Amino acid sequence: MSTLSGILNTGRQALLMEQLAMQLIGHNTANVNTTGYSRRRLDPATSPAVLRNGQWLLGTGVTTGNLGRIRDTILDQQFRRSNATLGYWSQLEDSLGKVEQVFNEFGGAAISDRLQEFWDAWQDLANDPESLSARTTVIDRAQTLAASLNAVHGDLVAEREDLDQSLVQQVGEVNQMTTEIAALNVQIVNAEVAGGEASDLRDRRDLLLDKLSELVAISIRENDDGAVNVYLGGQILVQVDHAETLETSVHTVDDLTLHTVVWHGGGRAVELGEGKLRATLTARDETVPESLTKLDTFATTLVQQVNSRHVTGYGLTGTNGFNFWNANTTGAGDIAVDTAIVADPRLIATASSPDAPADNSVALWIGELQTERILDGGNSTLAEYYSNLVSGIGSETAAAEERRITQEGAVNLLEERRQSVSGVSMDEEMANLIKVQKSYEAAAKLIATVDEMMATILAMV
Amino acid sequence: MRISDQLRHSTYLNDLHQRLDNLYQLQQELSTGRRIRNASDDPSDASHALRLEACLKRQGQFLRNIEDAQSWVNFADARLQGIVNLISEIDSLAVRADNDDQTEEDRRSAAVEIDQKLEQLYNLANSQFNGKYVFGGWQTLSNPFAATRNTDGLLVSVSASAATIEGEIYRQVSETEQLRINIPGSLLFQPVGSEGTDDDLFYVIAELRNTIGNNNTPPVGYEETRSTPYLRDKLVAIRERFVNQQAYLGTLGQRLQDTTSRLQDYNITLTDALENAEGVDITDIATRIATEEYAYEAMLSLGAHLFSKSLVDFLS
Repeated sequence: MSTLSGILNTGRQALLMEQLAMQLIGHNTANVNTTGYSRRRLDPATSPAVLRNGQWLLGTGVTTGNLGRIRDTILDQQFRRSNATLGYWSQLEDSLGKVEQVFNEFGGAAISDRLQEFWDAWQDLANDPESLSARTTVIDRAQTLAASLNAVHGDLVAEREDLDQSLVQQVGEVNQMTTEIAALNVQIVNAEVAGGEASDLRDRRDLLLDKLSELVAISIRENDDGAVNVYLGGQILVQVDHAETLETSVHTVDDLTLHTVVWHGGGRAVELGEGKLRATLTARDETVPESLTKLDTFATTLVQQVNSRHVTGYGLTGTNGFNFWNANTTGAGDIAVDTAIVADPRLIATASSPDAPADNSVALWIGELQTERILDGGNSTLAEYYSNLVSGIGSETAAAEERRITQEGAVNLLEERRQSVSGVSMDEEMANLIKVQKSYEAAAKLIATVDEMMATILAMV
Repeated sequence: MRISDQLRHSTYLNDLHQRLDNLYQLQQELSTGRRIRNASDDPSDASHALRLEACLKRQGQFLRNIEDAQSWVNFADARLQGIVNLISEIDSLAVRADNDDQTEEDRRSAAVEIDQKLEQLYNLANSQFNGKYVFGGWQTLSNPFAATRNTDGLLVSVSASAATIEGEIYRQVSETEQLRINIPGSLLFQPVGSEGTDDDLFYVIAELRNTIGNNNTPPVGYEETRSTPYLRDKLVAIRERFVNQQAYLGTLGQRLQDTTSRLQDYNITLTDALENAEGVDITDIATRIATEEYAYEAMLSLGAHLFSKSLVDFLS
């Protein structure tokens, strides 16, 4: 047995190891900006020692110990849990922000301004009940107010339908991700069956799980063979190579065709937990409908109160009993001035008795409605009720924003810690590069020296 | 803590976005002059601001109502003054005609003069302001008072032509106050049902004219109740009604003025409160913008310096 050739082999193994290390540095630096990439590390180990001369255990060099990703799975779990909460609040903030924009109370096209102009028009009419132009102005202002209410109502209904569309889309995203995760499970198991770690595949799967956790609150368990099972609301969502699909079933609510999320086959309801999906549902089924209901209450109260006073009064034609607003108004969506009034402004009631053109008592009485607390059980005027509605949405939006910012901080912190563990540092890689280069040179020097020694021996022969 | 390149980048970008966001918010506040663009910017102040704004607009309408009322009051006041003057002139004519030194001729011409003033009074009773009869109660679109004349065209009697002559017209001048701004003809010329009685201005003057024209001699059978002194007493009593209503208009005018200045003061308070609720302090914003800008620039220069350096630069 030749010890020289043994030393040569040790040098060769060292060269191979440093090449491998160099390959990893190349891979890490190449992926310095790849989202979801976890840096790779090679942990060299000493190769098994051999017994020399029956008494010494001599080292034989280096061998690949461990090659794999550096990743903290506990941080992953924490990140995904926090990410679901973040998804919920950011989606809710987004939806509430849109609802707030619909009301646009501080932007100009404000209903409270239109309402005030409507009351002002009644007082102008009370100042000049004989005039047709004051009457026409009342109708104009009423129609503008009605049009604003119709528009806001329409926008809110459209927002609700948009949210429903987002829900369907988000369910589609979940299904696509779970299918991909199941496919990656298969690839990872196949790749790892011979040992080693399918690092790139695992990175891709982890990235998908991160994204999925933003949509729905998931919990994850990894099997010994490298496949993961994903659970949603205690139910299995991905089992190794099989992804359970979520479906949407159609039902009709408030004359709208809306979707609910159910499990494939059987139509069991899905417990969504936190995440964007839950927020979309909350906005669609609670936030927007609540605003709509309040807006409808506002409109119907306005119609009933004005009409109940208006029917008692007389216009310029000497007859009474006319409604000012269309009495069939069901809410903000269809509020309109009564067609008879529009056709003949003289019918607008201002007087308490017939043939008294200057009698403005009914016009004043209707105008007084603006300061009467007729809503919220006698606690709010129409204008106050409306501003409460707007500031209520504002408070909810502000609260959601607050929660989102807090949660974003938490998620960012976790992401920083993950990055700290798994992210590539260029400086570190460069330092390693030098280290590997030097080791490589040293190993090469070893081989060269052994070569010289062999030449010396051969020269002796 | 181990710092990776992506960590450095994302942390830097997050902070940069935060700075830009702060700067953007301040820029918006400065350019709009409003601290609140959406209710969520400050829900409690937003709700407060909405109420204040509505209240402010309401006060604006009240001021308009008052302005309208004031023009009515001024017009009616001028007309009442004219009427009171005419009544006084008629009274002077009657005093003179009642003197023994007056000839029949003198008295006849006095009667003619009284008749002319009666016609003027009749016209004043049907005064129009902006095309509306001011003394007609709710009857503003047609003559409230109609004259009956004899074959010579001489005014014999005047009757209120509408049942709604008593109608009172109000203006909303504040949240809680509605003030009557008209003086119905029934409070002045002819109380309802008094036509042809001693309470009827037109009747009293017409009879005075007739008695004086007839050489100051009342018709037979009415020696007492149509005598010039008796009718003068009635005329003075009726004039008192006009003077009283003039006083009402005077008080009303004062009250409208007081309300106006009260509303204007209130407007200032409301505007101040609104400014506090949603307005911005320019100096404060400008200072904060300068600070944020400085921090933003510092971050940019920091980024430019830090990210261009790595170990790679020092490897040969």
